[in-house]
Amino acid sequence: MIDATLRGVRSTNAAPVHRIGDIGDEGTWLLAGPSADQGPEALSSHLTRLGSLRPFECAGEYRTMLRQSGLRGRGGGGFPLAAKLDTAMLAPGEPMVVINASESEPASRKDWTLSAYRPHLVLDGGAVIAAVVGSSEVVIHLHRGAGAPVASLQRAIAERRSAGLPDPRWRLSLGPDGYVSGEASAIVSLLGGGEARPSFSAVPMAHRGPSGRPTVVSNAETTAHVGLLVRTGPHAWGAAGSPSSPGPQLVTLAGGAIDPGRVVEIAGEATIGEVLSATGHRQPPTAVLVGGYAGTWISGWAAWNTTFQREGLEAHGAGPGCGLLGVLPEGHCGLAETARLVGYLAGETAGQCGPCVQGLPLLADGCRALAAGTLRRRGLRRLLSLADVVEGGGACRHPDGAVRLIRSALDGFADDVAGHLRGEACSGAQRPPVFPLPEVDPSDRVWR
Amino acid sequence: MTVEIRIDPTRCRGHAICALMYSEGVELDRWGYGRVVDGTPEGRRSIKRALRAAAACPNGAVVVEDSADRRIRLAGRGPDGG
Amino acid sequence: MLLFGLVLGVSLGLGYVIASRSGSLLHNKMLPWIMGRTMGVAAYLTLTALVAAGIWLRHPWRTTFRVPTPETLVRAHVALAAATVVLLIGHMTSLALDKYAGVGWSGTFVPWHAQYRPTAVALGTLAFYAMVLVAGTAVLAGSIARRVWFPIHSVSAAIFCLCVVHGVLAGSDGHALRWIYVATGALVVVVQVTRWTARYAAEHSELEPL
Repeated sequence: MIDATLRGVRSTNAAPVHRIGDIGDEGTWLLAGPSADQGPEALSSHLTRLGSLRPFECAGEYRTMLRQSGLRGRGGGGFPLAAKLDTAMLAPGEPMVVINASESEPASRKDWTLSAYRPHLVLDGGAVIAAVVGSSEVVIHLHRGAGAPVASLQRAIAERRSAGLPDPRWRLSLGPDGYVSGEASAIVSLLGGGEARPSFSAVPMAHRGPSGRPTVVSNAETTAHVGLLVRTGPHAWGAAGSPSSPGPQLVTLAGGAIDPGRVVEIAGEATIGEVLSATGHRQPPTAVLVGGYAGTWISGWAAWNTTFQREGLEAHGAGPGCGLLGVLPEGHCGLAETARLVGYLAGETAGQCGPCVQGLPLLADGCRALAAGTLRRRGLRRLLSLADVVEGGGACRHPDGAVRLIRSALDGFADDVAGHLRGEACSGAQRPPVFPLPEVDPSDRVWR
Repeated sequence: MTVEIRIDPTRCRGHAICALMYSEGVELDRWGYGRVVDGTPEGRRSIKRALRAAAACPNGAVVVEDSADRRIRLAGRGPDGG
Repeated sequence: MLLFGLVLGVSLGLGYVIASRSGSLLHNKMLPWIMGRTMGVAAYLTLTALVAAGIWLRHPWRTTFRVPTPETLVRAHVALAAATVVLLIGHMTSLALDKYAGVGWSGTFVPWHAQYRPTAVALGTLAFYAMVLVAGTAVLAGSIARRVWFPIHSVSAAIFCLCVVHGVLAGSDGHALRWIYVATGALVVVVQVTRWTARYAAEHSELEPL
């Protein structure tokens, strides 16, 4: 009810302001500043552009701002950050603050872009979060194979140290590259001396993490937003989003997009059609994959006029997730792509819980058979009942993501499903796949 | 005393002993992995059964916590029993 | 309880049929002996089912069949265990009471104290003690035995072997019985070996890259 009213007010009183920008574009929020060819932004440029922060003096004020902003996590979970911080502050012990810049999602580049080009914005956010929860150290976690962001963050930390900024202690942590090793509980378990595999906990990590301390894990984009919104104020920042997803957001284009890997920032309620138009697409593609490889398929026509915000996407059973917008071009088979993605997810489990160990390989087999046209009605029914068993049974959400992807594919490509079940030849399935998968050698897998 | 029972899926190996001892609160999936359907046993008998299930699980996958959110110490749990 | 009664009834009936068909003459003086035999065979049958159910519960192939569900299987395992214990007590009591069997109380409980085939009987006695250990720890799993009951459960493999040998050496007068030992022994070995190889294969296969 409230959302609808707010939306009404916004659409009648204010012009529908939305802006889609690249790194270095004027008028963007997170991406404003020097262009990509100038490399990581230097501390001097960052401070001239945005001004300095006083995290310790203003911790109380910052906390209020974060609460007013309604900022939600941008790593995929979409959990309100302020609630996480409140839990950590009420729990016994000094909270541990972790910035998750590992970005496990193979096609996503937004955290990479921020850490590589706007490292100080990310670190500012970390300093604010640490000051708010009363922590003296911030861990920044990346995958070992992250590349440019590691050097960029190292340099930024050194710059801040020599400038004598009122910062917490910084600790750069590099972990294994696997998909699930970037999951919050896996990172915290690694930091606690264990393996980078997701762990189970009966209580929220913000209350008591695997190390025994309250633990706040915040995605790099979320953290950068913190660094920004305490300067602009929560209201101006929040207005650059929608009532249920306040603030601007970063989107990575992927798959069959004209420029895959390109990161754009959306301010205001831009539709998927507007994002795609701004990046060179003339007409709706066959379908879009929203939120990540474990995300949701939406048919191109339905998606074209849907905003890339919670309320718009939720109508299609999707969510912004990690901000991935994948494009399935005309003539490609969504079921074949789904089978590949599910196969990838099944190969990327930590091998711990029943749903991943037993369920995902079977789901992947079923999807492969469907894509190949060898699955029949009975097999499909078995696949669906298997999905029900797998869902919700793991320690982390990894198996649930695969189930979501499969269900949305069966829904969104219903006509194709019917054809494949009859064993009709599918020309799209013969085309080269559009979604890139990292080359994984199972024998190289490490958990530390 | 109110307790809350949960199953750590990373430890569960499908020995099914929890479904035997605390049948009213746990069901098994097709592989025999346990899932809690009633996590808050009521009445002394039921709580006792839940505690027995937690004690008997060979992998220590059944976790029982009291209302003050402290893990109930079960004597005899291995060093990895957390 | 229902399951337990069912198991007990069926196994006793089967045991009687097998024991009487394969045995020699029957008359009143032989009642304890007949009972001992019947219950011995019945206990052996429930033990086989018990062991097979236990192995099958965690067999990788089990999920290809809808029934029995793991819940049913674990309940059946417990009912079979209870039935085995009851039958075993009956088997031992009847033979201890039988004056002509050459076993007696000391022969029943002390290994190598029986006059009739001392080694054969001793194996049964040893299997009984091992079974008391396995069943006892399993019953106390929720209280005293906690997690140790499970490693102790692997003693069952030895128990089953002891019981097969005990059966073959002490109670294999008649061809039918011999075939039963062979069939049940093979059944358990097959279930156990396939479980081991299926699991080994699963752990050593990698997901095929697409």
